[in-house]
Amino acid sequence: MDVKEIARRLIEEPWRGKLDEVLELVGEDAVAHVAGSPAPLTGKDGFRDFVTTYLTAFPDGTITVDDQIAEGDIVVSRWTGRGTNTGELMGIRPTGRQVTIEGISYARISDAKVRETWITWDTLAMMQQLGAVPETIPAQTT
Amino acid sequence: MMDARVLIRPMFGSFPQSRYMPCVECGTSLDRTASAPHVCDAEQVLDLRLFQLRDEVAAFDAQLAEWLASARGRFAAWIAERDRRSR
Repeated sequence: MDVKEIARRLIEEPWRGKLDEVLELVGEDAVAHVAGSPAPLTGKDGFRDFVTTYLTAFPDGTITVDDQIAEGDIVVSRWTGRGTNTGELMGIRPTGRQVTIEGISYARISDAKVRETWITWDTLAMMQQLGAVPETIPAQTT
Repeated sequence: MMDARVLIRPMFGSFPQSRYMPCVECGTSLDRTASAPHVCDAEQVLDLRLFQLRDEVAAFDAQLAEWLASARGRFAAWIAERDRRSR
């Protein structure tokens, strides 16, 4: 399996009911740097907890990898996630709204396992879509 | 009292707006850049409304039982039963 395929499976397959299978692709010492998280997530447990948070909030969610670039053991994936918010997320009561989020993952993969990854997505857009922060109000000029 | 929007404006006013926003009627994620107009699916509108009212729906049985146990509820039930028998 090439590094692009491993990265794609890590991103897409937890949302297809294959979280346990995907954990086989996470190194025991893997580190995930997630934008907005106060500390890196580590190992399979960190990956499982992270994914489960969003699977709980968006049980019907899916993520699709839109594009990938690979160089050596590094893979960059641009992806789009969609789902209906029917579970609690970070203290936000379920809204029933559908959201669409775009993000990028940068992963270092060796021996068929992810060793380190940086994940960033449009958190502000997600919060706007959930109504947790207001839609943009034109800046007031005086 | 100061309008909260006055306080929020400096905080969020310069942030970009999400390309996607859910339809307020049916909750469907809509792409603001799409040219085709959105038409809500009636069933999805109902699903969203029921989801938003889930607490009220869940509480309904308990509230009805409580009301039926009250003097007004017992009297209403007695009237309803009398009307049913007289038909």
